[in-house]
Amino acid sequence: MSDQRLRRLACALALLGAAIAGYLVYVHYADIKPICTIAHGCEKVQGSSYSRLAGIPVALLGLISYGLIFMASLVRDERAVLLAATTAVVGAGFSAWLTYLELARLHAVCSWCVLSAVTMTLLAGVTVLRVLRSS
Amino acid sequence: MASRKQQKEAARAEREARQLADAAATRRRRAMAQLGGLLAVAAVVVGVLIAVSSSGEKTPAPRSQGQGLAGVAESAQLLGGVIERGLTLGRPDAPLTLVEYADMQCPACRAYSEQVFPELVQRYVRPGKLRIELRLQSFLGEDSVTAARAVAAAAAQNRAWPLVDLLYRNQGQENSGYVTRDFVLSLSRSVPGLDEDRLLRDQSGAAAQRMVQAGSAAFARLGFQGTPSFQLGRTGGDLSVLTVRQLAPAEFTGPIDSLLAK
Repeated sequence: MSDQRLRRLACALALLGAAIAGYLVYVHYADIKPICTIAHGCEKVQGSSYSRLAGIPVALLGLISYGLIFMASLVRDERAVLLAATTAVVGAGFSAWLTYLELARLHAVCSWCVLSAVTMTLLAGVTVLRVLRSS
Repeated sequence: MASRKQQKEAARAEREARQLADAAATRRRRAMAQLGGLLAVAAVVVGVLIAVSSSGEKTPAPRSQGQGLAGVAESAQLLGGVIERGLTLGRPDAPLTLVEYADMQCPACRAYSEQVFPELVQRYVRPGKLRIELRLQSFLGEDSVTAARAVAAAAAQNRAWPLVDLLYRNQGQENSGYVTRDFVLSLSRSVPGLDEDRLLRDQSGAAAQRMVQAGSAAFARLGFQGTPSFQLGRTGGDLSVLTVRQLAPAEFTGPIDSLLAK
């Protein structure tokens, strides 16, 4: 796959992730229940102490990360490729931790969070591949 | 035998191939170094994020206003071990019944809860002389409705009174939107034995709605104009409206003692 295609794929995934995170940020600040396919899982996860990091909603951090990856993927520069990959790998790692918390500590699964974790993991793969190709 | 020209071309081709291979090896090394650096930075950042995330485990979920809950220990001490069923606090066979009509975000109801209720619990409810029934009101605004439904949902688990007590102890500005889902969750986590998942499920259910509507209907039927309002009488008998001039324990202990003495 050419770098052009990888770049487009990264942008598309970042937009998808931003849409998911944006919805969760809206749910948080509007104080409404998220639409959830798993009974009360989203409410439990979103209402837990893990839904914030140093007082900042995790969904907002996700939205910022996806935005950063999207913008970095638009720029044709080696440093931008590295920035996108680093952000995506950090996001994927932290998403893995949050998924572990959902399963092991909260015993609840938020389908939106899982979807975001999968999106971020795919982004990590695509952006790391771009790093390897760009050198 | 190769000519001199052919030997030169072969040597050049070999040199170019070696250069290409060297360049490719350099690119690979550089890519690996970048990837290694990237993974190292990511590992450090993820480690820090996990440490920060875990540091919040020992503290309860923050309230909407980002403050901790007040009076959790005091509330547990006041109501720990007291029998409750639905919206009724105290032994079912207590000789007297006090009915309280209250809105969870009404400041006067909080004043009653702080200044009178603890004495009634210690002096009459714990010894089995009085049972207190709550009739939920929600006319002050949306926060009242949310709080009343949460209490009704807690009543389904026979844990309404600790939640009511914590609602008063953490009462916010009237109709400021402070009774959020996070707020209710924080309170419910501080009530021993209260299943927060079930509470969230039940508070939007028909049973909670019916319980709140029943409280409003009873309030209207008696022609009360404000909260808190009270009725007092013998359990199972007719209850009289208890008119109080001020929210002081004597306004309640006097009539209760009189009825107990009869």
